[in-house]
Amino acid sequence: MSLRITQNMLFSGANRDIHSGLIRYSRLQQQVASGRRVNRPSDDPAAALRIIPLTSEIQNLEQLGENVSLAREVLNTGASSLEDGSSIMQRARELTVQAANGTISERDRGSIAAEIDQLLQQMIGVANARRGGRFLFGGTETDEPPFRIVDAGSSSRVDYTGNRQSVLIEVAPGVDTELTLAGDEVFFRRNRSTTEFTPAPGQNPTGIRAGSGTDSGIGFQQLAVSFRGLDGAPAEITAGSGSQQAVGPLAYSFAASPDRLSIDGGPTVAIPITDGVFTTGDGRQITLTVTGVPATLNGSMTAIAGLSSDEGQSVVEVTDFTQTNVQLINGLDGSVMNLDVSNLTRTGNETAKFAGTFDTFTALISLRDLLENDADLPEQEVTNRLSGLLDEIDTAHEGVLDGLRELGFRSSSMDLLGSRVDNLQISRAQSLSQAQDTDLADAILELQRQDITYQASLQVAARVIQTSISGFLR
Amino acid sequence: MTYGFGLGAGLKALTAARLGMQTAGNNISNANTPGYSRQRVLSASDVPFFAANGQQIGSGVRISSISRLVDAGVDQRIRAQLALFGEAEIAQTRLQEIEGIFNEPGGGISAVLGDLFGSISALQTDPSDRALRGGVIQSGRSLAESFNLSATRLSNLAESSFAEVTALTRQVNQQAEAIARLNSQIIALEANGSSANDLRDNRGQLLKEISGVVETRAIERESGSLDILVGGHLLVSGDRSSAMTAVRSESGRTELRSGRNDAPVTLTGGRIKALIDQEAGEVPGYLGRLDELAREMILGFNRIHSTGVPRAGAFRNLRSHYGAVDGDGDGTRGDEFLSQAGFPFEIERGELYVSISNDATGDLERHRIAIDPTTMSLIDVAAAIDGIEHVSASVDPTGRLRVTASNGYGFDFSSRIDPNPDTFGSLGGTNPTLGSGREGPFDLSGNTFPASLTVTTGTLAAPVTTTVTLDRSDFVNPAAATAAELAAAINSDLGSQGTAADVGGRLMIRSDIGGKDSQLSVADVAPGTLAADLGLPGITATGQASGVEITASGAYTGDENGRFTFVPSGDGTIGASPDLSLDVYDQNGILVSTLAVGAGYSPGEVLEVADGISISLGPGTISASAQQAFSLDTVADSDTSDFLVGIGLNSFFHGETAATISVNPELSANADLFAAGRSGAAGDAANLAQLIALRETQLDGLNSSSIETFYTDIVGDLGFDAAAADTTLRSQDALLRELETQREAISGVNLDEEMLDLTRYQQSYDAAARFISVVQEMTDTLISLAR
Repeated sequence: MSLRITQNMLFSGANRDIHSGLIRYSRLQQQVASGRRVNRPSDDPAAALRIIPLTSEIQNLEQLGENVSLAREVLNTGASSLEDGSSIMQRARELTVQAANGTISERDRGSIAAEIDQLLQQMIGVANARRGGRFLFGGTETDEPPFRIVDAGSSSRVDYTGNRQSVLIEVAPGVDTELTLAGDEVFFRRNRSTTEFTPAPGQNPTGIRAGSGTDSGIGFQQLAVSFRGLDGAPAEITAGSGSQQAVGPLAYSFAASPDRLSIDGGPTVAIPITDGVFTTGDGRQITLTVTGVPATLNGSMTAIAGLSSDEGQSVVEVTDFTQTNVQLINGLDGSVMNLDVSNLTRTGNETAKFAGTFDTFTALISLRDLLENDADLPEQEVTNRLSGLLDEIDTAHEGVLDGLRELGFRSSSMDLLGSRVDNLQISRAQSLSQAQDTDLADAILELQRQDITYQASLQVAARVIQTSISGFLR
Repeated sequence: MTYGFGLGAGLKALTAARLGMQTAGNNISNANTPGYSRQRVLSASDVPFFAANGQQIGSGVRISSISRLVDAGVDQRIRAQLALFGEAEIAQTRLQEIEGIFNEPGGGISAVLGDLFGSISALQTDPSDRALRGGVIQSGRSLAESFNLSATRLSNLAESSFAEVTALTRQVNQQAEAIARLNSQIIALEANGSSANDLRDNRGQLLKEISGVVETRAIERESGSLDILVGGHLLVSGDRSSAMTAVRSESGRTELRSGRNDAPVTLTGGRIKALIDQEAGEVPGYLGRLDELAREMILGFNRIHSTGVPRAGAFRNLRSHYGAVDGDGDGTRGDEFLSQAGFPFEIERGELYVSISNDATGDLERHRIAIDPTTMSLIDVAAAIDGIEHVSASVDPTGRLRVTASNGYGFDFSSRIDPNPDTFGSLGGTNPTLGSGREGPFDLSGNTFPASLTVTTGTLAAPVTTTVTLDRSDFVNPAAATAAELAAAINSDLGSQGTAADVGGRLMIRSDIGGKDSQLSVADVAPGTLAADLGLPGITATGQASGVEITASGAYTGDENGRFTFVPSGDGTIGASPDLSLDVYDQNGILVSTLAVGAGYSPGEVLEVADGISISLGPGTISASAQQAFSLDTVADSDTSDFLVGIGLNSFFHGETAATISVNPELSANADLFAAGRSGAAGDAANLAQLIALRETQLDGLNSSSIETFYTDIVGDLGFDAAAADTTLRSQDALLRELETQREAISGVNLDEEMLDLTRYQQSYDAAARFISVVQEMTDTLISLAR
């Protein structure tokens, strides 16, 4: 304290006190009014260091929250599409069972076929499910329908044009989830094992077996084994017209007086003969025209087999019946079937089942085509094929359900992640509030305290600056 | 004792009292004048008379002086303190302005930065959505604009220093002139021994004002004149002042020079020094850190973006943003080495992968270009790209690289996995192939050049024989012939019969005739060891009706660029032969995986290889004895050289500093050009994940902090600096006030005191008047006696 006090000192002192009181007052007022304690970094640099990352983290979490709900929506859209798919497969199964009933009329089968066609169209719709213009089952190819009907000759098939890349989205800090399923894993399957052959109903097995190569067909195909003429036969023997059941190597033996011919240990038939029906030792019929006795009395020849899996569009002829892997290409869909012909002895039709594979669409298409064209087939054959297709529809249904389960699982994990993101957001918001927001109770209390101080300083100033000796000198 | 004496003493008393009252009145009227020092009348008893009896009798009062009450030491300290206060004040206002520019928390760059990453995350929900893409571009532009605005305002702030210093210097010069004038008046007045109190007060006040602007040293001469020194420069000397001027140095910094000899003035304190310091310190410091941040943003974003593929798929043509500088002044741009071509971002030694895709088939062909900035020019790189089939590249006269794809083809720089890695068909293809069985280089030094091979192609029934001759000139070094060199040499002789290729460093020879009956064999033209040196097997390979279809998928997660080479373990049929497998080797020849593809594998099934890559094989046969193999490039970073970033090809941001950063205008015009993915598929968001990851990435260029941390640190430092400046200013203010109080205690006017003085002198006056009247009465009495 100085020895001398002057009026100026009193005035400027009072001025300063009032001013600094006002500054504190206005700062508090700003804090209360804006609700923020830190309005510029220098208000509390340490808090500012926390506020900026917290604000950006909260912003990020808000976006992640939106991503989670979007992901949930997309997954649920996918799941509900697959639920539709599941009902379609269920309905297809019912119709198949109905159609397999032997007492059903041809016309009823026709109308079932029409309904199956409807189901097929619906199933393609399911596989091309969209959400907001994006296809859900095409991998990252989200702007083109991933499944497309391709007409191939008399039949049609559905091709997958998507890819297997996953569409990823961040749903929690550092956690990505896949939004979609690759459609070819839901609607197709290729857990291939050895192809199985079943002879057409009422027919003897042809003796065809799966080759050593890997087939590429899906579901079922019909294999036709036909007689395509003779190879290595003596000039006197030619194929006649009539029933031809035998293929493969055939031994012949002539006997003289009278001239007779026996094929493969079968009963002898008098020659010469035109279109004579011979029977082999194991009961296969073959029609031959024999003009005379050849030079070599006993020998062997080969009945050439024709193999076709595409209704005769392309035929592979077999003369060497020791082959274990004859490649047969289906002209309709380009698939390859590998056949072991070493045991092939008869003509006939076989149903090839590419075990472990299915194609939802092919199953429905085959079903529809079968029911539309069943008039040409014996009843037993139709029933048999229908039961095969029923298996296939069940497998395809299982595939759809697998996809549904996967999406459901992901969707429910979204719930968990969503609440985790929400909780994080709440806790970060609390931290931010602690760092940045005004504690209103404290601030108002402080405001009142400042108010009192301010008023006191005003009063003191008023008192002090009034006193002067001039007031007392009269 | 004389009569005159009595009246004289009375008169002196009256005069003294009147002077006392006048001084009090002057003090009262100047009570509020800044710099005024109170004055005090000093009186003394006058020289006494000697009375007749030898006694001394006082002869009244004498005014010895009217003096100012000042403490020169306090004034000196106040001046020094004013300089410190001025400095602190400038620092504080400047930092407050910078705080205003950053506008944090909540309003500045942090918000738009968050928006940018938020919009990228939002785009993940639908990478093909045009509105969301536009959102990313818009946020990018907002960020760029925020950077620009902050940078502009910071540089304006730095610029404003010069103007402020100029204004302050002019003020100081005027005040110095005024002091010089006062000096001459004071000298004149004080020559007769009196004190020029009020002029001194004026001079003191001017000196105080100067001291806040520049720290001064004041020296008072005997004559009463005051010399003022500013950092060694004599600002005022006697009645002369020497002006200072503010100039801008070559480096753009503001400097103060003395007017006379233009010598630089070294400042030790005050506002001007603070302004000059700010110019080189705080403001450029913050701007520099903002520049660093902007640069790393540009670098980080462009590194990811430049290797991406836009929504529309591969590029038809591209032009680089930054042009090469004509460093050697020969009029041609692009012929300098890349490191000297003036690109804003450093191009390093590394590699660039260019992918050429066929629009119709989707087939991808990837080419690797080694880039060495110290030996290659932009023209060299353009030539290397130009050498790739279906794409042409050139450097235009502005030094920019242009790349154009041929019709039906597109190019990009993405690191995506080639979905059909075996387009050459060297593993189970329809055409017979023979491989070297190991990677090059091959030692051919044991051969006499020209060395020949007989290659038999055609069908088993109708073989075609071609002689392939290798010359010494085909190889850089015959002791280390590469597969690529060999392939080129063989292809030139093989014509339409077959094709040789470098498949992952291995030499592969393929017959151009395929199918079940086709054949291929390679033999030496005897005698020779060439086939053996090349590792080619001495067998006859046959083709097959349909080739093994190989598809790769996934995204490579490894961190080294390289390749996976797939080699069959034996001869057999996919999905049928027992124990058939594919061994997968990486670029270092290390076995990374063995894939079972024999019995038990269903062709078409997807097999996981390693590092996020999967492959599937269709049906068909593969052969180890023909040494079949195929390789798949595994690219983690398709531009390790930063070439694309350096020249600004397919970039997201343009510019290089906070002031120049902007979003590539082509993206602004067409949001579909934003490369969200790496394949052009509508749902591909591979790049978005990378961009989001950039948010957390610790960047080397930012002292291992992430973008947001670096920015937060800037704001935090600013907060601490501003808070510290605030505290400094307050404490300097308190010190100044304390000194002012001290001065006020000595020199200030107390009105009560003056009132009392007034009353006191009034009473003295009354008494003196009374004394005179008494003397007069005495005289009257005497005179009446004489009548």
